[in-house]
Amino acid sequence: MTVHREEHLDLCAARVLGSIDEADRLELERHLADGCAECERVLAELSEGAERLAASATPVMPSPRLRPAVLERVRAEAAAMPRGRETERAGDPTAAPVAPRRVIELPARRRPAWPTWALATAAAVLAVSTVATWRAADTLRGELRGARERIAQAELDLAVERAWAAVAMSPGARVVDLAPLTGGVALPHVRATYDPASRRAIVAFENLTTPAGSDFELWAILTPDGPRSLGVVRPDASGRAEVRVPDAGDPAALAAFALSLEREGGSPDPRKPAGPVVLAGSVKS
Amino acid sequence: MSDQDLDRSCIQRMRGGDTVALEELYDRHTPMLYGLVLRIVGRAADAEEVLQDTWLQAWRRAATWDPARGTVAGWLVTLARSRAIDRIRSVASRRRAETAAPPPEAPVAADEPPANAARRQRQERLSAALAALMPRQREVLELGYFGGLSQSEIAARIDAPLGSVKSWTRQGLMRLRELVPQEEMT
Repeated sequence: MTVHREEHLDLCAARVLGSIDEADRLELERHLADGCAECERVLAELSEGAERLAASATPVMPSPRLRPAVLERVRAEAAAMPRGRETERAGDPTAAPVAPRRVIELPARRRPAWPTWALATAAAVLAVSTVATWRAADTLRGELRGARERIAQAELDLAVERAWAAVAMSPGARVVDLAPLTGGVALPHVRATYDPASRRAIVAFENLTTPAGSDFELWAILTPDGPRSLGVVRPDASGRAEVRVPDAGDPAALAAFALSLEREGGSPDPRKPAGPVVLAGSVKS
Repeated sequence: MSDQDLDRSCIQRMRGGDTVALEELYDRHTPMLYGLVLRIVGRAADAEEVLQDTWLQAWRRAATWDPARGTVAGWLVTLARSRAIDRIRSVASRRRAETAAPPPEAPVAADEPPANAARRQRQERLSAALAALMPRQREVLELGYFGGLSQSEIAARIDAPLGSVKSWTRQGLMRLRELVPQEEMT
């Protein structure tokens, strides 16, 4: 049994917030599996805090188009896979459609009562146990399918993150600090890290303050093709941004990264800045 | 009948195949869910796609809602947030997020749903509570919940020790709970 420590309460908070790291999640699950009343109590309290956080987002009405679109999809699904009206079938939302049945009256036949009763009872017992088994198996199949999908997504996310981490770790990585070319605006600090092997680049921005009505736009300068837009860059609340470029260009062609100050929305031409280029840095081999 | 009773009744009816019950839930909870999803994904087009998926999942998984594990509203919030975080983490939308605008802090007033006085008061109370947190506590909560970052990612993002991020998370959640009593949430 794992001993309860103060740190477990921090892990409870991370889990409730949905930001727990994988190693911490495993540690907390092991601890909770042993049964910890203190952690369970704190989890309930922290969940109330998270409920307030979720509710702090200002309610907003979506486009009026959304409601009919949602209902159309749901009705289509309901028509394709109708559910029984009875609550007994509630546990199985994916149950197969039940076709309407015609009832044909047949003349009654006289039979001894007891075999009928016995057969009906046996059939009922068999039917109940078969349905129960089938439902349990179906539930398990659904859970297994969900778990497999989550694992596949996690593996995909991990592979993506590893690929990006490799940019900074690459022995051939080229680090470019972009220097100001003009005055008049508060300019961010920009550092680009380019991995010639994968052609990926990560461009980090600090102190990024976008003037009203304008946007900064990032460019790769290629020879002989010229500029190629890598998109408009907007900061988060702390004035930071990170742009991940899956293919910044061939190492032999990529000459520099540059930042231009454009009208809001960026340059209309993805091959040419419309505003002044305010920062630039050469990619040296 | 309280909103929670109505919600439970809708789930029961959805289990029986009643699409009108989903419409009722949609009308009651969409402004709250859309506000949350928009805050996470930042773009209206993405938020609407996420919300469509959320309601489709709610329809498909109505049978899995367990009253012992929380309210219907809480279950819907979990479904919506999970899909919104998936969206911002997905490779395709990651590219969009690289250059996307930050989530709108104050939605356009015309898009706000009509709110009764109690709801508006609650909203103001929640905003005030969030503003009353220490800046670092608020920052880690927002980056984790609305930004979908893990704690180690948060530590790297704000250049703070991981241990501090963990403490601020716990302190922030507990403080929010204290600042807005449960009776003001119903």
